[in-house]
Amino acid sequence: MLGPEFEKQVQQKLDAFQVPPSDAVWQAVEKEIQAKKKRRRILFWWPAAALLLAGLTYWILPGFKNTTLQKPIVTITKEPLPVETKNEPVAPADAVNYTTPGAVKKTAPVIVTSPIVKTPPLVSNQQKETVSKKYTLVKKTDALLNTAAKTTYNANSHARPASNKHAANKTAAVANNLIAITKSEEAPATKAIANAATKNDTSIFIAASEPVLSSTTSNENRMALQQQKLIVADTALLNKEKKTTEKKQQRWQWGLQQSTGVARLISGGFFSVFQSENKSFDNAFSSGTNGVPAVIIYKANPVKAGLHFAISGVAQKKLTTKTNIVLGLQYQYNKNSLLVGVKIDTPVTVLPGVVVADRSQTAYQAGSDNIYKIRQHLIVLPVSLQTRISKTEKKPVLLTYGLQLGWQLSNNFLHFGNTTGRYFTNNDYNSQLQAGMHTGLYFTLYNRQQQVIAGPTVQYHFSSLFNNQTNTRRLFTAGLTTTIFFKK
Amino acid sequence: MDYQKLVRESLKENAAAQRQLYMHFAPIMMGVCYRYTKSLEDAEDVLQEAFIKVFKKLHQYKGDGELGAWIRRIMVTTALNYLKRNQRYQEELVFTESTLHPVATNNPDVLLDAKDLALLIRQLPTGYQTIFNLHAVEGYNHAEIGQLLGINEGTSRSQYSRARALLITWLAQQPLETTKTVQYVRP
Repeated sequence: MLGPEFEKQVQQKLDAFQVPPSDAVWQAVEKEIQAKKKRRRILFWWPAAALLLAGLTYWILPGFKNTTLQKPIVTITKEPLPVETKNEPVAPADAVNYTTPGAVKKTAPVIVTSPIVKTPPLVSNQQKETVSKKYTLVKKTDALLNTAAKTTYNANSHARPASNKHAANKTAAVANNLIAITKSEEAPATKAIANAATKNDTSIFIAASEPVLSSTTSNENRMALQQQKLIVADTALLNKEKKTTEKKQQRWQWGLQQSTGVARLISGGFFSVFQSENKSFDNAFSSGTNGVPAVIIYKANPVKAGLHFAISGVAQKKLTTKTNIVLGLQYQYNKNSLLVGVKIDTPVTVLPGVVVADRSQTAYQAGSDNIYKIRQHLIVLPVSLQTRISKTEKKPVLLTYGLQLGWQLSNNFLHFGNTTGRYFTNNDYNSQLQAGMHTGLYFTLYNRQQQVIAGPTVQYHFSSLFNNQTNTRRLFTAGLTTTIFFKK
Repeated sequence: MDYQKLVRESLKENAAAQRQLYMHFAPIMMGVCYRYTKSLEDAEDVLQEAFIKVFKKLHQYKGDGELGAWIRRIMVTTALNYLKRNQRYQEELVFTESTLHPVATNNPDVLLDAKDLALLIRQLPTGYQTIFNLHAVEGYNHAEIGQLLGINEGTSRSQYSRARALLITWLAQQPLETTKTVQYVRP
């Protein structure tokens, strides 16, 4: 009879049996665990590096930087002032008075003073009348009508230091707007400015204007010139404002995006999205001899659709009047479920030649006793284009479409051995790199300082979630996505 | 040795702790791998693969059992997968015809030292060797062995009986012929 004595002796002797391995084994093990450490580090820094890159892009690329308006350096008085009678000083030459000549005595002008411009000479009432007439004439030109609306606020802009940038704008403005004035008044100073402006030569304009003022002009011409300078500066400011608005539109807008919906792990290609998974639980039998089946081919239970949740940081920039580009960094969580049998706690063969035995893997029998939850975590970098498909810009409807590159952080999917009828996990089957596409339709809910858009979106991964040939599951999600863009 | 601390430090990727852990368990685990394979090179391959798995899965060790036993279990499963993957072993893993070796019922004293006994076990056909190691040394029952190897419990039982008989026969023929073991000794 077989007894345990022999086994006991064998066990006692072999329990303490040792063989020293060669140094090469540790070197190989160490190399592998160091490589794993490096891989993990890369994975850890990857999102941070992406953010850093986005930040650098923001600061380095032209047109991304903030443009700030220079604040006015004068005070604007809008309070009514006492009506002038006689020999009283009129407003400084660079002051703005849009009232008609007849109204001068009845309503107080808006006086704008500048700390930089020298005190203008006093003029008599008659002269004042002339100035008013001249000014009325100036107002009648189309360019000035446009400028006038802005002038009250920015009246002192001519007093700013004439930097090259401002001068360039001034010159351009002069070329367009002053010819009408020179034709009507023929003032020598005006001619000089207009000539300089026509030549688009900033230095000539700046140099020529002052001497002409001091040596050749009468008070009338001086006043006219001052007004023209004011107009030039205002036109420049208007241009600058236009540019600033354009630049603002070209700036990146930052925001947050959240998506909730349904995730499916479809087997097969794109068109499997529209097919329901095989719900047949019948196992197939391969043919055997005398009607006795040789091998049972088991079928896995279908994977049920589940929750899809994604949150991302996004940045958008206007490309054309109708199209924006949107970049993002997204974290995605998908949960699906599957009916399985009882959990197998002992080591078990799950595929021919593959044993699940340690704690790193889990195995289940075929059956429908328990619900197994499949959880998937991904980091995704989506790049999208948003095209306005509605006429209105106020609350536009946007069609979004784009591609995405992702990294599957983890997936506890249950693989199935169709010859053993057992489910098992195996992280080594997970394919980390994921490529996909997405599309959606957004409706603008709020569009003021912030912009809120929401609508249905879908995404489909071209890449299989697993690298084993027998399992080609792909991720498909559909849901409602809401995006908030901060501060325009 | 404080295994818990060693595990904690290894999990923090402290290279010194990882090396200490390896150095502490490597010889005895090499003994396990040695019993399941036919050559020292194969045993080292299994040891290397299994230790990489140990460090990779160390966070799953909850400290509720003996660390040595946990590592040993990984060694055994890695060795089994290695045998199944490897064509040379795959051919030999076909379980030997039951008529070849009669069943022995006696319980002889094992007078050999551990190394010679291990060498003797390695000379068994791979199928016998695997089942003998799993049952006599590791202590798995035949139902578990059946699941591990994908065979019936009865097959495991009968194969074990014959492996045991063959081993007892060889033990009775001591001293061993040295020519049979030379090929398994490190050059």
